[in-house]
Amino acid sequence: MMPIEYPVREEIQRTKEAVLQTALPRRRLSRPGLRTVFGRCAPVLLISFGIYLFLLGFCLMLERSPRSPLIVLLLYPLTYYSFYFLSFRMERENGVIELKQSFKYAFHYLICLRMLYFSVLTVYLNLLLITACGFDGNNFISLAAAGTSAQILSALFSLILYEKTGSIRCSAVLPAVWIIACIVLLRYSEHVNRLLMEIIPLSLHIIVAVGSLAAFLLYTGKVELKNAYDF
Amino acid sequence: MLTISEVSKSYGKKRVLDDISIELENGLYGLLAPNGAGKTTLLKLIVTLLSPDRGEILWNGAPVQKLGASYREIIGYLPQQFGYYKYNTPVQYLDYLAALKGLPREGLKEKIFSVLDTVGLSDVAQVKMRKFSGGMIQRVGIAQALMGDSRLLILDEPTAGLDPKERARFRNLIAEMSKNRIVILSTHIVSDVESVSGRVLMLKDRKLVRNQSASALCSELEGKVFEIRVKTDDQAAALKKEHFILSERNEAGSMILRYYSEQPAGLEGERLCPPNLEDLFLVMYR
Ligand SMILES: Nc1ncnc2c1ncn2[C@@H]1O[C@H](COP(=O)(O)OP(=O)(O)OP(=O)(O)O)[C@@H](O)[C@H]1O
Ligand SMILES: [Mg+2]
Repeated sequence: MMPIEYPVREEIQRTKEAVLQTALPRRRLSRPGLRTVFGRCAPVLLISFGIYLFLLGFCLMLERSPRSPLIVLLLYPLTYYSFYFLSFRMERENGVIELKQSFKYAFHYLICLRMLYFSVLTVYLNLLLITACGFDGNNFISLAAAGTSAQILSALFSLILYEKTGSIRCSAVLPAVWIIACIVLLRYSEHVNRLLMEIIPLSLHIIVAVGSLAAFLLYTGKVELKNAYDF
Repeated sequence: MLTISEVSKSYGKKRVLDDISIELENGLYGLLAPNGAGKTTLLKLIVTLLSPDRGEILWNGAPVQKLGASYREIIGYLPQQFGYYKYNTPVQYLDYLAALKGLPREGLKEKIFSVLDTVGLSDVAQVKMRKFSGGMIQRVGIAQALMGDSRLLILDEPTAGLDPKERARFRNLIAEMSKNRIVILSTHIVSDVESVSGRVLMLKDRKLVRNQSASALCSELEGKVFEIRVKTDDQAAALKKEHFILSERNEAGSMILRYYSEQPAGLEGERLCPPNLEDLFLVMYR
């Protein structure tokens, strides 16, 4: 009798994967344009900029009080959050999430890109905010870098929370926690200011800011390859 | 080819689909089942809006979970609740959705006008959808699913809200479309799937119980559907007690009852009738 040789398990697995690859190769999507990413967002963008202008006015009023760096920091992610929640709300009210999720550029991927672009934009806006408050030199850079990290990280966490729970209610925890933390920190504003401006070196601030932006970019790439399934 | 292989799905503890297996080739499939039977759930599994608890869905042999955007690209999907932006015209809306579908921009305008023409909306192409009736919105939804020549068309209750004329137009359209692609539509309106050639899929008690052509399904009831003209209410009441009534109608002053019976009841005036799909639906889900 002839002995029959069965292929080993790994080999079967390899062959399977090779077949899958040829069936419909996975390729990266080309990035959709701004028009696709921000489509139908105009009213929400306008409201968010309204909130930004309001914050700007508020900061100009503060000028330079010992507390103002912290307050500026506190305000940093607010424009972002207002855009984030309003943007979801608009899509849900129109009942288009399910439909959009079935498209090539699935809803979650688009939201992720939208939030990435918008948080980069708010970083720029917030730089204006700090300038308006009259910071200069190293203080300006420290504060801007700390604010940028805070802003990008909170955007990233809100998206991850949404991905894990499938509901935006949960990510409402983040701005709430942020505000409470800032109110507490305001009581120790002198120490916190010293920590931010003097103790933590400028280079660390910048590394953290660049690092969080890189993390966001990586995350967006990960979401792109995901399925509607995984949300 | 789409293969649904031993798929089960529960919401929490509630099992909705159990061990469903279907092989689908190009052609029309009508998913016919009563409310709450799991039609939408099955379609959502196919478009990857839900993931199966057990089993797999394969497109040409590859699991659709693994295919991602390259699978979504070949799908045209009409959800049961179709969302839209009120302040858009159909042209603006379809233009936006085409971008999300990643369709090429050249020739897009012509494509949009041609799908709007197919669903009979070309004369309101530039009117804001805020002013549309339910049936018109539904047709925008169908147009949206048709855009992009998808290999796989998944339509969840596409005929809901359509008038008889539009329904007929839709049936012709679907017959045409299903020549070179897979079309799956869910419905609980029997006439949607009765007159078109294709297969009827029926779900019952979480299982797939039928996968046949409409005529093959009807022949199951051959010799078991009868009609009788009753004169008095007592006679009608007696008949209702004995047999499963399929329909009743008034004709020339007296009542005609259509009923299901394993054997002829041996009543005077009893007439054997050719069964239709509606009879089968009623008998199956009685
Ligand atoms: N998100 C959900 N959570 C819990 N149960 C659900 C959910 N969606 C559907 N169900 C339940 O699953 C069952 C099947 O629902 P499904 O929407 O698939 O039915 P259907 O056949 O499409 O009904 P219809 O004809 O009314 O559209 C129903 O009993 C419903 O209550
Ligand atoms: Mg349904």
